[in-house]
Amino acid sequence: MVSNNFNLLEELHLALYETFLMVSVSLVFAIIIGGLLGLLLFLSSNHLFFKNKVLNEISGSIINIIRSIPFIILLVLLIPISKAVVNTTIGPAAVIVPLSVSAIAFYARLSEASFSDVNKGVLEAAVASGARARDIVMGILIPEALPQLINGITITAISLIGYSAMAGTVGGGGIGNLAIRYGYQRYNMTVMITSVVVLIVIVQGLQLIGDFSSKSVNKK
Amino acid sequence: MIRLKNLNVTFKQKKSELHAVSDVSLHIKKGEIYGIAGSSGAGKSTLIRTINLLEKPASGQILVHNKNIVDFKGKELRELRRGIGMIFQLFNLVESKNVYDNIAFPLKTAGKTKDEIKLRVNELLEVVGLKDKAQVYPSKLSGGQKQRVGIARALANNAQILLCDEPTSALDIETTAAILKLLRDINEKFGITIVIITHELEVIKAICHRFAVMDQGAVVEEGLVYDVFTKPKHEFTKKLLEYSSKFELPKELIKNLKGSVLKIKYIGETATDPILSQLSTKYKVVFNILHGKIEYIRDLPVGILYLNINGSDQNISEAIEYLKMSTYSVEVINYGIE
Repeated sequence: MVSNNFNLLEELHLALYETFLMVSVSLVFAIIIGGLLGLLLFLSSNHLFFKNKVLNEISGSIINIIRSIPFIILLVLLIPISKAVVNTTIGPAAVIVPLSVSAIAFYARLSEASFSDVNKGVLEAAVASGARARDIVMGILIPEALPQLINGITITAISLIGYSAMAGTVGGGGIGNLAIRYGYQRYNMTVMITSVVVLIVIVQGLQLIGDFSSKSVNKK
Repeated sequence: MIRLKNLNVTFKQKKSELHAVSDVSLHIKKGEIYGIAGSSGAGKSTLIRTINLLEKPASGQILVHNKNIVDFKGKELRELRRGIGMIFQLFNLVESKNVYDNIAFPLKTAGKTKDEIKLRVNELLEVVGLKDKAQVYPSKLSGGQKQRVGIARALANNAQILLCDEPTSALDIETTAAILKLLRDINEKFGITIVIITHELEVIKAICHRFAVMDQGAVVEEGLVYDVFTKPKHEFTKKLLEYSSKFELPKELIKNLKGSVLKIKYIGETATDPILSQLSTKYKVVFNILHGKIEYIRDLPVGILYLNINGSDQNISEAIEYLKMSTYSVEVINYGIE
């Protein structure tokens, strides 16, 4: 049974903080590194820029390999790297490493797809106008892909919340973990329902914010 | 201005090579509007895209301002491209930028200052007649307005050459006419050389000085628009022109008519002479117009007329002689005697 000094509010508060920490840090890495990787994948596949089959296939394969490993296995596999990077193998900080790796690979594919969706003709018109690749990427490719890039961020953030529930395996904490530990393993319905409701609210909120932001930059 | 010499463009396919442009040589003069016509898949689009090296030729030379540009790269290529504007069938405007920023983009990338950009964009908006649309996003514009933005953007860096890739194929007839008029104005006012590819012969007729007909990657005929339209030489050209102006009399009709049926073609100045009234007064034949039209190539008229004439043998043959002398050609379709 749940011990008497268990305080749902306090636990929830801590779990929320842990989830926020894990998800937000990994998301930032995913956006920056994953976004750049997605850009690299796109640019190296497009003859208007610097088509490079070797580079494209190598980076594509690495991303595929990461994406095919189940997250819980990745979590364990990356323990040595977590140790090296954040100097700990437990707690939210340790989970951030595998979460980021997974989210980077995930967002790289999503952003690559967003860039690929940009009208080729528009890019070609810019090339024909004598603009250099850097100006086209910054001035046209990214603004044109922005609504889709934002949708991708929303999807990544929500997936990250799901993955972070497995953080409990290495003592990462978080709301998902709270639901598993107290709700699933100890049959505490109150904790489970509360956690799930909180997760639903967070996910809905993220989706709303994401949709709104994407819509507000979309001029189509 | 632009000289293509033995140009070849090939595309690698899985196993074979597709010869998109084969051995094309053309000379496009400064200040002219040059058309390239042909059915889809003829290689027109590929050909025009070599002029700013969006497509790299497999062999041959492309001379722009007397310089072979085939091996241009980096800065040299970007500078060349700034001097060659391009507009597209589907306009290719940046949806996330308003009209002003769409036109400003090539100026920004060319390193112009904010003030210079503002001045030039407003100037261009005036030229294309969109002064009140500067802050509007492309999704709120009509097709014709989008193409106007495209034209303004293409000319932003004072291009001397404008490449038009099927510029009116997505537009209705009225808008097509307005866009063609704008292109002609630009050509006349600023002396900009225009290369236009199209499958619509109406476009060629309306604004081009000279044009080339392409079939299966090769140029089969080339010349002044008026000459090619009135005296096509190559079989493919004849076929192409026929498609565009299906203009024949039903055979049944000809069979059942009394008297002679003539097909008269008249071009240039004679098209406006009162030839027909001469027929009845001078040659005493009665005539009936079965079918006819006059069209204009740029500003020169070309007419085709199907006439049914009746009268005495003598009068008819004299009338035909007269017509042969005063028109471009007379074809006797049915020589009947009452």
